[in-house]
Amino acid sequence: MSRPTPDNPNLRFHAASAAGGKSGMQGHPVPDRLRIEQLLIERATSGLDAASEADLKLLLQRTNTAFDESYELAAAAADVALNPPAPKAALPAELQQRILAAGDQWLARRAAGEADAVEYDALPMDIAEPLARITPRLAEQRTAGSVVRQYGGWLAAAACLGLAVLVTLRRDGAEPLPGQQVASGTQTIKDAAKTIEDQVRSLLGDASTVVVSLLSDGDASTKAADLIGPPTPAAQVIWSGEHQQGFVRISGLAPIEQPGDQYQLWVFDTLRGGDTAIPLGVFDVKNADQATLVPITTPLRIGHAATFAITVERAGGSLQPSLNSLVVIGGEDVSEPIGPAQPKAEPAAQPQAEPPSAAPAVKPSGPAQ
Amino acid sequence: MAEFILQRVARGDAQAVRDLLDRYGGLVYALARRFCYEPGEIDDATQDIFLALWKSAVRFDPTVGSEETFVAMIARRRLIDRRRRSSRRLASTEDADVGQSMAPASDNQRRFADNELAARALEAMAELRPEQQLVLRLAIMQGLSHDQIAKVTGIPLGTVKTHVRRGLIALRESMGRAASMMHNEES
Repeated sequence: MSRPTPDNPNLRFHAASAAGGKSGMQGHPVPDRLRIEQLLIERATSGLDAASEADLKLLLQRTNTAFDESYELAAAAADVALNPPAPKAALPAELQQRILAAGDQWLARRAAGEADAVEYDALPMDIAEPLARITPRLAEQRTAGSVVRQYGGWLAAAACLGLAVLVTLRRDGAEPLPGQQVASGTQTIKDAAKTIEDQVRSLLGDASTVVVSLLSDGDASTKAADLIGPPTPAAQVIWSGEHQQGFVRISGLAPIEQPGDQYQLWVFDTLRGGDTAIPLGVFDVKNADQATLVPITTPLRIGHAATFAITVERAGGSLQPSLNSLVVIGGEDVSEPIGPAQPKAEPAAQPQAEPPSAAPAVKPSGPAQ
Repeated sequence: MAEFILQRVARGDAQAVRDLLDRYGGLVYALARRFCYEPGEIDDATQDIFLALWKSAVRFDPTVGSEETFVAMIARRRLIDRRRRSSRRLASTEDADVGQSMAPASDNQRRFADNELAARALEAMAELRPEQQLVLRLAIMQGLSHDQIAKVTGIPLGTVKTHVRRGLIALRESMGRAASMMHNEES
């Protein structure tokens, strides 16, 4: 159950949604947060049609606002208060047996770990493009991505953060997200680096953490590299499903020359009704020669982060990835779980990947080439 | 503090699945009967709601609302979705209790109002103006759209929207205060 959240300060105005929603007054723009409130109230009382439901999801994603169930709770409380069931109201016996049988089936499915046996989100965000439309070469690249995973570069990047460029995920190209660390001065950068290094160490020591290398999508040079050795990842993601926390380390992306464009990170969550893209935020790269570490923040619970991708989008980010601007993509190789309990001896892709001696129980992945 | 049934369901406790049905079967069935029109549909809807409850039990947070309210919220959501999907309106807008103003709480309501949140809901509703109460009642209990409410009451659409918005916000704030008080007392 989502807790009520304060109104998002984002006051972007729009006259009417592209998805067919209605504006509050004809011809007058309605702030996003008021439109969200309108939709939540309508949803709590008479429900939303498909267009308005899509409108709500888009607005929540665009404003990075958590779904607020409190209106529905209030309506439910009023409903049961005004229409209380009779004290001895009970189900017909036949229906009761039917439901109990269904309950046994659900328990069995839950015990078997079937993905749709548990719903973590009140409002599944299934609005994005299916993964299959992004790239048909995903399976090949998942395999390639798993070959070059390694840990050391993460700790090196975190330790050197004071020298690197710290780019924060931003909402609509504006202020940082709540709780996000921002480097604004030398001392702050050092403090932030210490904190982030600790966070990275903690994540790498977590059994639920996956490391995913992101590679170019069908780039000719990457194909050539495949023939002579492991391709060099342009970016890597570490993500802990348990802690819903992660970082993306960018080490091979060039700064975007086109003004008004930004890189945007996406995750494909296979537990959200199929492979759909969830936006994780936008970021800039200022120097291709420096590693950049970006914390990942998402208001949505990510069920199974199977694949990550980076695209180039307009500043502030898009709600769906642009198919023709895919920069890198990579997927977890589920046949080779990553975690401290099962370290793999794999070739490291970068010489600076050796972790500090104080590294946690995570064993770095193999020797340098 | 004893564990809530939904929390046990979330852990996969088989007995909790039965307890949930015993405890809230009547409430869910009563809601389904009000939202559905055919007996077969009522049974299917009730089963569908319990499946949704088992799956979403992990999201129940007793510090935000009571277990009854969470059950009713999930039930209403499924019933409203079902009504939307079937593209069916109320059998007749005449069925809506349009002319009725807020009546004093019945004995049954008072019994139910042992639930603190329900009591607060009744109080919050009683503080609204009669026209607001009527509009909110049609929206919440009958599930009428704003357009339908405007049509059957003759109240301008903009006013209907305002009444629903203000009424539900008042209810929401009242619920929030009650939940906060309950949580503080328990802790």
